[in-house]
Amino acid sequence: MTDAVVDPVSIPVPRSARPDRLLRRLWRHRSSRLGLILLGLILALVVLGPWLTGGSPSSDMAYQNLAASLQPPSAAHWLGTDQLGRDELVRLVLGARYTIIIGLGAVATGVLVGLPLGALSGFYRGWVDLVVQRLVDVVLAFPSFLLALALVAVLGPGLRNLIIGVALTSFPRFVRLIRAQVLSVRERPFVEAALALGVSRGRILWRHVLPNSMTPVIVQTPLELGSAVLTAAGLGFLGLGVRQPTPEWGTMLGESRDFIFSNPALVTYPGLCIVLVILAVNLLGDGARDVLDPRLRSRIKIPRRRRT
Amino acid sequence: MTEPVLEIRDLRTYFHTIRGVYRAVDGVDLTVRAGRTLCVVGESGSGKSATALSVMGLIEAPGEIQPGSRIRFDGQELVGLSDREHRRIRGRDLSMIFQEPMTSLDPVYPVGHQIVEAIRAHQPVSRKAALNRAVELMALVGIPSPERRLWDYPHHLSGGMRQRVMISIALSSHPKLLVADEPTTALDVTIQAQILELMRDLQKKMGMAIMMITHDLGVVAEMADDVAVMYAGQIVESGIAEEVLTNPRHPYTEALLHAVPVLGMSRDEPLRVIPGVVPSPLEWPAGCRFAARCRYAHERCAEPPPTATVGRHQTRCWLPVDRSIGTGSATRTAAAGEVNR
Repeated sequence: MTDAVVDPVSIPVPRSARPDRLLRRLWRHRSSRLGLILLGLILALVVLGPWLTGGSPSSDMAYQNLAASLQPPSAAHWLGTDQLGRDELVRLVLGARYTIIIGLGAVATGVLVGLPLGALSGFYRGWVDLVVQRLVDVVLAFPSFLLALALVAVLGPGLRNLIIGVALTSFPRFVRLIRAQVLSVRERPFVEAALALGVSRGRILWRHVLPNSMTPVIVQTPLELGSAVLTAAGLGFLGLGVRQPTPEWGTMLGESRDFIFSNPALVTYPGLCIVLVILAVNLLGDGARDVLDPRLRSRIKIPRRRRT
Repeated sequence: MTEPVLEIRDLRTYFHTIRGVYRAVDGVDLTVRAGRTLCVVGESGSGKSATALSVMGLIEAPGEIQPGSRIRFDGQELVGLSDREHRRIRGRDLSMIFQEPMTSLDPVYPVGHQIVEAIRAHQPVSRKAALNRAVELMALVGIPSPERRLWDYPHHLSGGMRQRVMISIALSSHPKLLVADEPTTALDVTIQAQILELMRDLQKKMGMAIMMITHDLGVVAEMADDVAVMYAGQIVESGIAEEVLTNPRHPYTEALLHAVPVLGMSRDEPLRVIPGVVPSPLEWPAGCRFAARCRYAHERCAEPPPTATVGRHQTRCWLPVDRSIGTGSATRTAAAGEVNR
């Protein structure tokens, strides 16, 4: 036994022993850095959008002004105006928040519902597993876009219903993912060791199995964000998105398709914005996979020849 | 002789599979006495680990401890306890260390965190007190500069160090019995010796009893006060270690001892293996389960053998019985001569 009683609480945790900061590692990875930058810009738009475009979302430029409809880009309207004379750039900037809110909301809901269901299903097996998996089978049996479409059509359009609709299509994937992971982690010896210590099953699931099962979820989440944004945009395009004057990108895309020949730029801008978001989250997802699980690396790195 | 801490009587642990009932443990009697070490030896698949897990209450479906089995630990019957009741004993009076120190620690937490979790699972102490206790425990199991190792993750430590951490976790609440399932199998020989020495040392300091599962007769010779030889789900021979190892009365024990390679043995000399394989637990032979591989097998071995008792030395075999009534003594004497050679 040690003579000098040390107070371990006051012992500083050495730097090397701290859990590696995921963000820092993502930053070092080339493609996920690009994703982070893009996503950072978009998030900046979400936060600063109303301020950048002159105060509240109901500022003048976002309102219709039929006298100035379908103008080409100018000093006053950098990207021109739409069919109702609203400034395209202002609407795109303001639209970022809806797209991001819907995407994040849907994915967060998907994770919050999918994670516990999948974890309980994989950990306790038995009838819980049976019930949850059949539920997931039913949901997965429908084409996901059709399901979201039907749900939003029934619930009615609107931000909240859109989030619910999109979340419904993404939670089964989280259930499956986490269940598969938990099934393998629960067989690892440290689970049995914890049981032998008298730790309760619930605590083992929460403290030991889940943290060891999170890697694929972290990788999957940005990718799901991309598909959620796409689904939401699709619904908006079909007129089932947020209600009219709200500048959501999918809805804007849908509205401007009437002018695709006369003003193709109006279709291009929101489309481009959607592409950028999806690109950003996919880059991030790929990077996260490379960083978190080297075994899943997509490419084999060939060492560059040394310059002589 | 001290009083028993653990008494197992007629333990039957069966696994219900699609292919039939897998009778992994089939009528085991064992006694672990306070402050002593019992080694359970046997081949892979003989039911050693299933016995240990039965004691710990860690048999999960499709496994089932059969009614009529009795596991009496520290005056309390463990068979039939609810999971909640069992959990109160597990980790407190009854601890276990496992074969794989590499994977028995959770990779996402520092080892100190895991020792603290073990302490706080059974003792109502503050996190700070638990941390101090963790440092003491780590020092106790011989981890150098423990206050720094506290925040190391398992992958920072070597196998031997990890097994020391596992031991410190197992001992965190002064158990009366430590079940060790092949604790040194995954370690190399020098580390093995260190860990075994540590366990003996800690046993002396803390006075707990140890039930050690192993297939290594070297470990038995090193550690055991008592030994039980397991074959095909049953104990075939048990007694005081020295007595059993020097004067085995069961042909299986004898064959096992012969199979150990000895330093100085010529390289050309073949190892003395036991012919055949362990029968399937799905259908054990009706009579003596070792008969098919036994060099002394005779007609009576088709019937279940009786248990012959001499002092504390028990043997489940026809031979000692037959010898005492006059048959088979010739072969038996020959065998004994060979062992003593």
